Amino acid sequence: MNVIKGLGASKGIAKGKALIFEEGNDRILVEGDEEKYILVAEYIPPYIAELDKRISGIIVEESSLLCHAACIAREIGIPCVTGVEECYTTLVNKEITIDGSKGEVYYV
Amino acid sequence: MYDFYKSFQQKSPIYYEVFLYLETQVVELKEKCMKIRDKFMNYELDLEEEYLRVASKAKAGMNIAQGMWKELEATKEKSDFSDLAYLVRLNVLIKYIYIDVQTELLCFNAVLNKVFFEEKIQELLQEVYDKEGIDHLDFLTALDQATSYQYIKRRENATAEKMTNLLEKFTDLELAERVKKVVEEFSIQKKSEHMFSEAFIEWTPLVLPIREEIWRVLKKVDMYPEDEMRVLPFYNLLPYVEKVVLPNLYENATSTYFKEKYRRE
Repeated sequence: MNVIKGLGASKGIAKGKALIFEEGNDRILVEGDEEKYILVAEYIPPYIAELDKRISGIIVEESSLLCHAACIAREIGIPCVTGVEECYTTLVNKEITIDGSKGEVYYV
Repeated sequence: MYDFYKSFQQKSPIYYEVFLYLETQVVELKEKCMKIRDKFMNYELDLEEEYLRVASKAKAGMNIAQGMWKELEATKEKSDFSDLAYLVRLNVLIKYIYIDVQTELLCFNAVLNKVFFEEKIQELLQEVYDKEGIDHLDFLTALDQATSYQYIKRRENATAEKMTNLLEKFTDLELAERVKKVVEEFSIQKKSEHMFSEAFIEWTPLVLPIREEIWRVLKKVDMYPEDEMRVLPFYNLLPYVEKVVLPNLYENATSTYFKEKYRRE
């Protein structure tokens, strides 16, 4: 089990498969089953205002307690960890657990 | 002296890159950002008024952009644009959308989003913890839920419950009043982000075909960008078109023109 430390921006614990956000997509689309996902991105742009219900947590490289990702995570009550460098390359295809209170990301 | 751009670069590299590009293109936009920022920090900015002004301008701007695109589509079928001329027109249209229209939204939104936190809420978080013992994440969660898009749109009291409950327990009434003021200001900032979000969703059916056209012409003139650039947003594609593609096409076009001219002579 690997651990990465970041800044806890929204409390809670969540597990899921990494879903890498790609700039240029108009929507975050999660097709198919009821699997839970953890959204992973360099940053979440302000035009993303709503998230698919299957997204149970957010991890971003941008390090700020008031970044857009942190704000929407707190609004909808899912954990968020910010300031995780190169998360969008490190966490590709990984099963992740995040602890938004401690600011920790665990992956296998 | 507070260094706006250094602060921006540190807090938001993405927005900073946008500003760097725009700074070379539209000098007055930089002055506008500084005025917004300075007025905001000196409590001279009526946020609600500024928000309404920016929203109204964005709406009007997009109507104009839609008209420009329709005109371009209609005349293209009738005329015989060269690749260069067509690409210049597409570029002008995209610049209009992303500099004249969207960027003011981005400036207003970005200035508030980044500057607001660092210079207003940071001290408040510490004070709320020291005086009332409230954990900063609990406070921020209450703030976000009290100012959420859904709350602003539908005024659901339930989403403000956390903040209401926190404020009722405050022993320092003056601090409570300042928190209420911050909630009000942050609501406007959230409205601005939501406006940006709605505008972006509205604009997508317009800008996507324009981007497709730009790509089509770039392929035709054999200057299609590398794969990793394809998914970049406009503020990266625009500099590539403007600084790399157009000068190349212009050079080829002018050298062809002069070759033809001298050949005839």
